[in-house]
Amino acid sequence: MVERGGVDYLGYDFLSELTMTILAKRRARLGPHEGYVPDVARILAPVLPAAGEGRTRVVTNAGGMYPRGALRKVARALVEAGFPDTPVAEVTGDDVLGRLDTFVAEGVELTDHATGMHFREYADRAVFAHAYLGARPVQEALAAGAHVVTAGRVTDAALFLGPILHETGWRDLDRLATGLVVGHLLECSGMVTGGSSNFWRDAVDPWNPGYPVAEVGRDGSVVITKTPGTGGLVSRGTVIEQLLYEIHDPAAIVSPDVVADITAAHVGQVGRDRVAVSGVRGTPAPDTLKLLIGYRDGWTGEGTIMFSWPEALDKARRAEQILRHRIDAEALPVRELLFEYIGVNALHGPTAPIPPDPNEVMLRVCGRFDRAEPARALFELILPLFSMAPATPAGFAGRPAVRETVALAVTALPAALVSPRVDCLPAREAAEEE
Amino acid sequence: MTLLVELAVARSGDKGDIVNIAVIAHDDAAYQRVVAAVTAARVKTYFRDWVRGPVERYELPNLGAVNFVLHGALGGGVARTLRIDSLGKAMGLAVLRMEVPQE
Repeated sequence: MVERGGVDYLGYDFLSELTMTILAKRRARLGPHEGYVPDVARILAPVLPAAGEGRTRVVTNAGGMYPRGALRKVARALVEAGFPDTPVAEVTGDDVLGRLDTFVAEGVELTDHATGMHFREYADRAVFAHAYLGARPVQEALAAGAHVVTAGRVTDAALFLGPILHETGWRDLDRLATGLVVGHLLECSGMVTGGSSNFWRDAVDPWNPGYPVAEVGRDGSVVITKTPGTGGLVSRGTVIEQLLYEIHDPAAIVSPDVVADITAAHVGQVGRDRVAVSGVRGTPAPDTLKLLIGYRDGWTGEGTIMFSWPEALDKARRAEQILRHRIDAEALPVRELLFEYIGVNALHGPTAPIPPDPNEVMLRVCGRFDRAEPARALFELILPLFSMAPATPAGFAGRPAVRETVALAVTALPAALVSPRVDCLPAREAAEEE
Repeated sequence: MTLLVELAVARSGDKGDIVNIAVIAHDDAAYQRVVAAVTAARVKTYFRDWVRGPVERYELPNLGAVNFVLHGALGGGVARTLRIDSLGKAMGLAVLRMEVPQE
């Protein structure tokens, strides 16, 4: 993208709800100086010379829960690559875990929008709390001269909207919303260029897909395309797929910077692997920010066992029956239990038609427990099945899959309570910090 | 009866315990049939106990697409669900097996 695509900015989105829980567990295990994406320097290494020379600026939320850690690693890599004077910046202020008690005391309602649970109910189990920051601090970091920006929990789209705002200075709401939509279209990388797509048969050389490039004009014009000479596909279909990905009300796509309305948007093919997007409208952002709180919520254990034709499905059902009896007999304290028949209904649940006589079926059991030991015990109950279940159990998975659950609560925080911070400094200085 | 897969493609995504399913019709005629046949109530019934909350539908004639928002649809959300498809990625494709009346 840097050498052939001529892009001015590269956005690297690392964070999802699930990634946040993974980084939180890493921080809990390794200490407060962890919680960023540990591979950040290795992943960015190929583009750091371009960033050092100022040909391409890099914006990432790989900072996760400890942006300074990511900043130092990237800064050291820049120094080693011969660019000690390159300005780098971190964006922080999203981490509000230590302030939640104060917020509650001040009367902020921290109620999970999905479950109605209040923060008080799990306060002692909370492991992270991050407000979703918008594009303004990213814009600020770029204005301060940063060639590489490592942020914490800024929205995925802010990695792209930030550079757009830095270049254009847009204030008009329709323009802002257009920039937000650009970010939304780019944030999942290959998912708009033929990956994860229903149009996969039309994607050429899928082993070498181009990552998406947005050409944004100061007049608000947008063309989504990809690096020349790469595979994949950018079509009206792939752009609409991604435009609606993880969207709820299309007239109110909320972000910290603007609310976008795509109900009058136009998406049209304007060339091979070139799709124009226009007609996005904007209204003011709410005066609240999304707040994601992670809290420890027990353990899950899981295991699998496979059965072969003939009567593979009936055999798997018998194995479920045996396991349920064994769980009762061992009095495993299971809070919730799920059996899935992989090859039959694991992906489509109750909507799946039952095949008459599948060649093979994998039974998967997954249970939720308060503690780790019974979660492990569930896996251990599967082992005897290999000598108890119908002919013939196969596909022994040797390692127990036991993991701690970090459940997520989503609520809103008055934006005025959150102060994004930008710190820009030469790579050399950041690299020398302990 | 026609299966929806002949009229449209679909992509689903997750946010917490909410799954959205964008059903994108092949052309304008297909879009009209999707709008007429695939109601929020039908989608809710279709998924039975997999979708515990309400289902909302948003029409996007400009994109030839209908967006469904399914609440309580992921067994507690990606971090908590016991399902192997913890992100609900395949739920959109499940909808494509729904039956749509002939024109």
